[in-house]
Amino acid sequence: MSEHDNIYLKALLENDQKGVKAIYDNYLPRIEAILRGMGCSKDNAWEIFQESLIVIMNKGRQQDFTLSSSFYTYLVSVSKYKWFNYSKKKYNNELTIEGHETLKSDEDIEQNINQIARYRLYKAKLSDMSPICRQILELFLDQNSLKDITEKLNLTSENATKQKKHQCQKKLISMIQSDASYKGLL
Amino acid sequence: MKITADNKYDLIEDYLSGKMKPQEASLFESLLNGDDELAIDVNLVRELHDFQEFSAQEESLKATLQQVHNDVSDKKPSLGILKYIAIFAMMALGLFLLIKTLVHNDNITDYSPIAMIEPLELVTKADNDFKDLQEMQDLYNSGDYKSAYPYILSYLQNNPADIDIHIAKGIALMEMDKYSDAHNVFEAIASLGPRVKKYKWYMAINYLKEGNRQKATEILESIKNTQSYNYKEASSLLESLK
Repeated sequence: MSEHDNIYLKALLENDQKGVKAIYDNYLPRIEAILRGMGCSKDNAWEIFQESLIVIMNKGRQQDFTLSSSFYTYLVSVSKYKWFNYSKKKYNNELTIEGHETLKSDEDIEQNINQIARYRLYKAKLSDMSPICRQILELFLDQNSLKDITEKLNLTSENATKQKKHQCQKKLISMIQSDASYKGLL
Repeated sequence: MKITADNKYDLIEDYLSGKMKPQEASLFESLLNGDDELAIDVNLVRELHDFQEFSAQEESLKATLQQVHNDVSDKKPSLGILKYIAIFAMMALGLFLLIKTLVHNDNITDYSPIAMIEPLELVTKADNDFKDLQEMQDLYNSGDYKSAYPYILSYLQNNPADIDIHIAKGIALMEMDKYSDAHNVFEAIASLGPRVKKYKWYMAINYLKEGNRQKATEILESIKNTQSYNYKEASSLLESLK
């Protein structure tokens, strides 16, 4: 693994424009060529490239994560896996690309992709809640104390905030768990 | 400790935030170990505390990528400039065809945008105890085939049936301009794994690099007709060879 690999990972985590541009310039043409060789369109390749970088960024957020291969190798694995899944869902089509057995068995990538899908579900469900519930939960989940939430939202008492937070959190969890996609993402 | 539908999420919050007393935490953990459903709920609450940060990072990264993408697209030549480029390209093409008829040359070297070489992904394949695997892969993927080659040979001694590495060996030889040796490696792969068609693509590239356009065309036609590995790339390459 070269020094560049860690620089690229850091660029994704810190949203460093210069670093992201270097990733784009160095790897988009190569990933696009590989995916197009697997039957992917140019537009889909760009979508998959973006999604794959988000997967790597999310993986990099884990405190104990270090790249066990080069950045490019990991990016190719994730991109192929994303295309494999996309193709399966969209075209109900099992790819017959050589080596896809390897992609199927890569649980690590699959778990990471599922976690991102769960996070997007949580976000969607939170935005479906009433404004007061959403505000309380956004502050609570962002590590604000009940006292701070009470003051910021001008609520009557800490106890009332606690009760409301309890109700809202229960409601949010229930909405997430009853979503048809949730179980498939575990 | 009794966990009910009403107190479950408060207990989970207390457990995750470290507010539980050690004795309670240990009791909670013992319940957690034997209850898959509770473990899923704990993970859900843990993730609820994390997803907002992820969402913010995701949005920023997406915006940056889109910005970079737009900047690159904006830098593409305008229609007016394209007109002049097209005229220049036509003149250049005419000149090229003229030279081509005067001096017949079968060497095609400018196919690299189409003839992509896939990286090795052995480390993700995993249970393999070849200690230099990572180094071999990184050298190979960085294009340093000369340095990767001894590792490839060493790896093949212990893993003689690994077709991916045989292909990598052929590619490395090809990239070191040892076309005849590369050809022999690709031919041998056909007997090792008759169902694996990837070698054909690289065999065609090898022929092209060697200057044997006719043989390369035959293989590319076969890849295209059987919709084998990289058949779309093969079609593009065939078009550019016409």
